[in-house]
Amino acid sequence: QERTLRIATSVPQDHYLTVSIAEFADQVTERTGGDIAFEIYPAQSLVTDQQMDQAVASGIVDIGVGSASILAGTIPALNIFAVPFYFDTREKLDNSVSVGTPIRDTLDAEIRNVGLNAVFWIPYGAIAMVMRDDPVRTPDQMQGKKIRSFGATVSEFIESVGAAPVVTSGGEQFLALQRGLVDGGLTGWSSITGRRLYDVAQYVVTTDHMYETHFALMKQSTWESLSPEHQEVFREVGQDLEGKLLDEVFAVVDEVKAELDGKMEVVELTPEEKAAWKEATAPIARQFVEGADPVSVTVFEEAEKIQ
Amino acid sequence: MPTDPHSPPTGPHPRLLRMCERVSHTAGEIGSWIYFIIGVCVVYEVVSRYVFNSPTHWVEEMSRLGMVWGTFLILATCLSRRQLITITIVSQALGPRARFMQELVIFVLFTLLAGVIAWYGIESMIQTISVNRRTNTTLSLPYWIFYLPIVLGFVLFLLQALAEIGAMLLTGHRLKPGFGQEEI
Amino acid sequence: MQTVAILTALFACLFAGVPVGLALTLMGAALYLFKGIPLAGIPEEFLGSFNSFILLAVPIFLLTSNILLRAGVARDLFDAVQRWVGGIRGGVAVSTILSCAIFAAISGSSVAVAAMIGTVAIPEMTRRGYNQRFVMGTLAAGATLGILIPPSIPLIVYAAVTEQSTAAMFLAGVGPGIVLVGAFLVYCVIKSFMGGAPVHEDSAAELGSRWRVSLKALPTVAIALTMIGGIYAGIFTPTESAAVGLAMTVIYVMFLRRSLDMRGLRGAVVQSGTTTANLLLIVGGANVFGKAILLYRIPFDISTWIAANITSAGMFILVVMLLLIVLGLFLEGIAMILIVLPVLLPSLGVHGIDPIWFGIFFVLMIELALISPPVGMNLFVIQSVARADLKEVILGVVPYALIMLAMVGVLYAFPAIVLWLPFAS
Ligand code: NA
Ligand code: NA
Repeated sequence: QERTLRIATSVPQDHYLTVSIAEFADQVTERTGGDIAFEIYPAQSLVTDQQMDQAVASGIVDIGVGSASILAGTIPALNIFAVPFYFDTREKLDNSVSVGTPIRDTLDAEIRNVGLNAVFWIPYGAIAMVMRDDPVRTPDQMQGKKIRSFGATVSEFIESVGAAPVVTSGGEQFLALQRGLVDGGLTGWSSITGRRLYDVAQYVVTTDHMYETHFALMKQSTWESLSPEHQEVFREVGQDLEGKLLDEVFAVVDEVKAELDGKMEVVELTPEEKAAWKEATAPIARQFVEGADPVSVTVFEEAEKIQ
Repeated sequence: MPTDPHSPPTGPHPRLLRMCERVSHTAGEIGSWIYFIIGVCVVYEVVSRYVFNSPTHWVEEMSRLGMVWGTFLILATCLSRRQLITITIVSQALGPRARFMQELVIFVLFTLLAGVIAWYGIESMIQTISVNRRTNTTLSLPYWIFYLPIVLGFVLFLLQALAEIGAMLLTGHRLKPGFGQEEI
Repeated sequence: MQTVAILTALFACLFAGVPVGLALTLMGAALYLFKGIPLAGIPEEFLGSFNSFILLAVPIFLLTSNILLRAGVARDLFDAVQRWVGGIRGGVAVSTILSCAIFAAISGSSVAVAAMIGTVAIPEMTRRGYNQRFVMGTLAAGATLGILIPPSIPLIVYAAVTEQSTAAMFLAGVGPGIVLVGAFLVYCVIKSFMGGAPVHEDSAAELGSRWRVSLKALPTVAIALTMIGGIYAGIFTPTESAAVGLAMTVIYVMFLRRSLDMRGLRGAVVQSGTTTANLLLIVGGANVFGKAILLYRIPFDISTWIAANITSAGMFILVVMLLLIVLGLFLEGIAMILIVLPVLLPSLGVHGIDPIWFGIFFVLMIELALISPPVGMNLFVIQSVARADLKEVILGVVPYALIMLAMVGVLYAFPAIVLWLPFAS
């Protein structure tokens, strides 16, 4: 019995996330002997990132690739990955996002609680900070600067170092930097080359302070409609890919840095400088737990253990 | 140019239609002022950013919310005023009988559409409430306040379309000029 | 085959007199059903369409235009421009184009410019004995600058659909706007000397001191410069520019000039509100339809067909131009963008056409649509202001329409006119 599932992403066809989910789809089709086929709708052609979880819940798509930071509106515990410098090494990530680790399992259960199922977690990588004119090294140099933000937790980070967050969409980012509407901006590494930000900003600061993950989300009832054998295939393919992609995420940053050579100065922070950032942004961790729901508290306690 | 938007519905309209129009027009006026108020908020944002060097946390999101509320609230009044962009070239050549039928069909289609949107709007709203879906912003607004105006707007739209159908069937003729061309 | 059937069905609906927004949504819904997509996608799509900070600029720009129109500000501006160039032969026609251009820099709509300048310029030109056709053609065409020179509502919608930066689209409109103004002016002068204008103009001096008259127009010019200058200088985003322009306008006309009361404001608010909702219904419907045709891969089929059958970018532009001329006979500009763009967008990549350039080209074609019969709003507005025969207005715009078509060629040959400003640092 054949079945075709619709997959939606909010990024272009050749973007890392679409490529990753396409690889997932191909492998599942192959290992189910063609029982499960997929149609991929990239570049928010079917659903935008903001609507991804709702679109999955209403059955508009069967699998939606959505980001943790957007789903965090509904599941605040997912904001754990935005606590600055808590997930900045490969080791910490292995201990928190791999299947079987407490943080991963707690969050998976929490996602199931809202009727969704994260079939596999697509690692996305760190967030960097581009600066138009100033090679910022320490948090005190951020005082009074206007920084492009794209969400609540990012804004908290910006404010914690005395800068002012300006919410700008991905598309307006280039012009906002070019015209000096903002002095800098937080963005994913791949956007720096993808959106040619090197044409309008001179520096990129490797704060690498927060980790972003995406999910391949399925509606719980759709997931349960799959046979146990098929579910097993989904799980295995997902887990295989997760490890591979995590390696890739780290490799990509190096590739981007190499590509930026001569176009933009990459400001690598020394351990002392990084410590200063960590200290300046420490209140965010406190904010995360103060008055938080029990799940957030649990996740935070687990995160403390892996530091 | 559209006619004066303040003129209350006049003429031999059946009472039900008149009542619907009063509600639609009030909603439309509220929606229009919401746009104006957002404009004021955005100015405040600019001032806040440059004079106090502290961009607000709420203007961007509240503006979008206002945009959603404003637009859905105004839709029914657009129908009542026949202010919906349409290709009129063929309609104008039709005789009164054919135009009556054409308009009736259009209203029935609108009724269907509004019904479907209102229905699924309610469904989505209930769904978002059941999982406490919220925006991923500083305000962390519950999503149902984005879905509520869809439901309100299209229920209003549905009632307006039904009242128009009723009035047409009752009187046996079209009560207002046809859908027009509006350009900007 | 499927592609042809779906597009034919849509146009059958449209020509049968089904409002554009409804036709698009219904077609989209039918396509959803055939593909087994839940109709819950429709409210979702409407919500996604309206939940936009970019489109917020639409009601605000419309409101500013409406307020200026009701406050009768056009008189001050027109008199001031007149005071400088009104004395030369054809001076009133020149003033008309220049006034249109300046108002275009505040107004996002072209119909508002037509109404504003038309009310003051038509009586003036008629009184002085200008050729009637020339007068009305100049106004109907000059007013279309309203959507090329930023701010521009069609450019906002284009930016929203193609995910281009609105600010970049606005800046891209500046260069072509200036060139088109120049071309219109050259025509005006030539036509005037060929008998379009009386040999002796009234002395412009009767209006009073040049500087005193200019001073009255200063606030209008200041608002225009703030709005576009603010975007260029990176002081604010297009939506913020709209709001700042609105605030300046309200303060100017309600408190300084005192030519608009609360009733007038209320009228402007409600009118721009309904116009916005009217447009957004189409935006929502077009998004539903746009997603639906993606399910059938129609845009990709079309771009594949284009890649195989249309061999060059020039040919592609020519074909699109013909298509838009035909659609523009009957269809409103925003609807044109929203129906055509989702279908054609993937095709731009085939011949490497810059989406920003294409947007400006598209807006030029919308300008043409505004003055092409049978349905051309600017024709109607000018006809009703001048109380003239529609045929006379149509004959008057013919030379301007030809200039606009030539303009497409100029922009094609010199794309830098469009692309220079948005990318200049
Ligand atoms: Na304009
Ligand atoms: Na036309």
